[in-house]
Amino acid sequence: MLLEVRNVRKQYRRFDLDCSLQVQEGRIVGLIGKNGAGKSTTFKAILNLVIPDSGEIRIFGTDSRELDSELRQRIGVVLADSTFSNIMTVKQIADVMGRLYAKFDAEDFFRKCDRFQIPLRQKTKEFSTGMLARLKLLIAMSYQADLLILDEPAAGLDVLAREEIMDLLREYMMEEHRSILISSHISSDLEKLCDEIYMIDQGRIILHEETDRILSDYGILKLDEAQFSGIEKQYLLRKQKEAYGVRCLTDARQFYLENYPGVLMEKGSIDDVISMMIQGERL
Amino acid sequence: MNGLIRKDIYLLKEMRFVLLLMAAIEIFLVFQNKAVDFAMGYMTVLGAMFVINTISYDEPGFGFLMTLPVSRKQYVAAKYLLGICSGVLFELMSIGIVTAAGLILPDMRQGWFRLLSQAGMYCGLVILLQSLMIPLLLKFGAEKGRNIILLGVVAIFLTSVELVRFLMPAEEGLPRISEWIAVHSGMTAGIGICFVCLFLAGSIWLSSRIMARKEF
Amino acid sequence: MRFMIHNTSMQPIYEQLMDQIKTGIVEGTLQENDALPSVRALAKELRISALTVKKAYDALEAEGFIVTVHGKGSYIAGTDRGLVQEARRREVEELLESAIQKGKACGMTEEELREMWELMLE
Repeated sequence: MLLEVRNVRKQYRRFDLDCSLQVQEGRIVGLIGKNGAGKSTTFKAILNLVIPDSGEIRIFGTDSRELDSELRQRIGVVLADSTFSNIMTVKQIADVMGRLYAKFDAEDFFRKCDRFQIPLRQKTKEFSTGMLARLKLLIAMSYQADLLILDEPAAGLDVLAREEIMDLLREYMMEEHRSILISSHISSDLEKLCDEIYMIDQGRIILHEETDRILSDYGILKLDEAQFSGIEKQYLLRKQKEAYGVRCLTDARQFYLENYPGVLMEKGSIDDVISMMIQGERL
Repeated sequence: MNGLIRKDIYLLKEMRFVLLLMAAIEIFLVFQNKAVDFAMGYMTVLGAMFVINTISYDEPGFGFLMTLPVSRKQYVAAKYLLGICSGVLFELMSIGIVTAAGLILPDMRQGWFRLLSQAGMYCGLVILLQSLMIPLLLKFGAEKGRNIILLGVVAIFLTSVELVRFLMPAEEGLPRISEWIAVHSGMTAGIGICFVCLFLAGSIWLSSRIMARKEF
Repeated sequence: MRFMIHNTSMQPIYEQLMDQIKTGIVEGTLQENDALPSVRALAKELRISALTVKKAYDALEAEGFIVTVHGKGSYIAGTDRGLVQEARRREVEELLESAIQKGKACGMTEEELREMWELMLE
């Protein structure tokens, strides 16, 4: 296990976090939730930027508070709201990186900057949001880190730029031992990228599932009252009242498709699953 | 740590115009007003401000900086190291300017002993000043920290002036103190150095503690 | 070989993948010992999860269509094309069978079913 977060709690005045999650070697794991759901706090706890009240975080099997320089060099980080000072140029940043990370590959870094048309001699405060986002990611990917921890790496970007960021990550994963933990409030980004997804709401993990399972086994049933009362409820996770009757979330789409051929079934998008998990009633 | 210092040097580079301006002002003061003492003191205080400025540049990206492969202790150490180095550097620069002035204007020639002891004293002062400021900046952030420091410096200045005035009549006060210092120069220097070292050590300890508990 | 994924289809993505590889084998576009793209490469190309690809490969391996050499990759196994065809035929049979059963369940006669069959074939 590359990363293990076990019952990490952090109490704030208006918010408390209670979170467990795991990242295995070779996996891309997504953390999805609304703004303010606890994504950034989770990431900051993992990176030791906030100090949890209780619980345990292990990275590469070592307590996260005791990571030495060598282990830290195996982690690449993008934080939503902070990076190198914006009065530095990319060239200067590269020089600093070279002194911090033994495996920093300047040549490759500059080549990628060139590919994304990132100017090397301009201060980063003159960069557009998109350029800055790409640069932050390229920095995190510049020293062959085994684990990327990316908090909203595509925030504020349009669809095309986001897609480009996701492609960069897919490329990075071609080395099979690498892993990524990534957060976003945009589900479609993660749906096509991640192997596993954790959904977080109000500081709690409300669902952990393989993306493939969500896409192939989860579904939304739209039933009228009569259908609902007659249907097998064992595989229904949540229900919600609607004008036409009842909307239900299932994780056994095939079962209902085969046994109740008449019912209306939709593929569960990740957004649907989240909103049902949060707003729906348990059965 | 090497990387951190390199980063600070790049940040300082951003302030190179301020540096040139300061040197120009110092040269002006020395040549025009022959205010050697004041010029050296002025340089010192501004020199210290430089390091403090790098902290405020760091601030928006503090979270990210703390994910780099350096410990929080190393971050603190780098700041103090940079502070002391820049303090000494600025003092050397002052000595250079004053010496140059002495070569051009014979009436401004300073004795080496006096010049060096003065430089030493101001070095001590920079270190004291930084030792006071760094923990405050780390604890309260650049914005709030700066205000607190400003208030603090004004308060210390006023109280010490009042104290001296209270203890001795205005005209005789300062000359009498410098006379005492001149007589017991060795002892004063010794006490001064000890005091600065202790203060510095305490400040480093405090800053490390503040950093260790800081959340970003 | 090019793969195509329908994201909106009800058919799970890994099944779509499996079907396309089987089709490739039947049609001969995929030959014995042909290398399949690595799991990550295909995931990247199709913009789907690597686990999905892995699931498809694992299932294909279990059915004997491909062989995975650890650390090297996956290859088309030396299956008899006839066998593949046979397997697909069985699938069609099963589907037809379930259609017939459903028809009978809602009271259709064999005659009606045959008529429907003929009509659809046209």
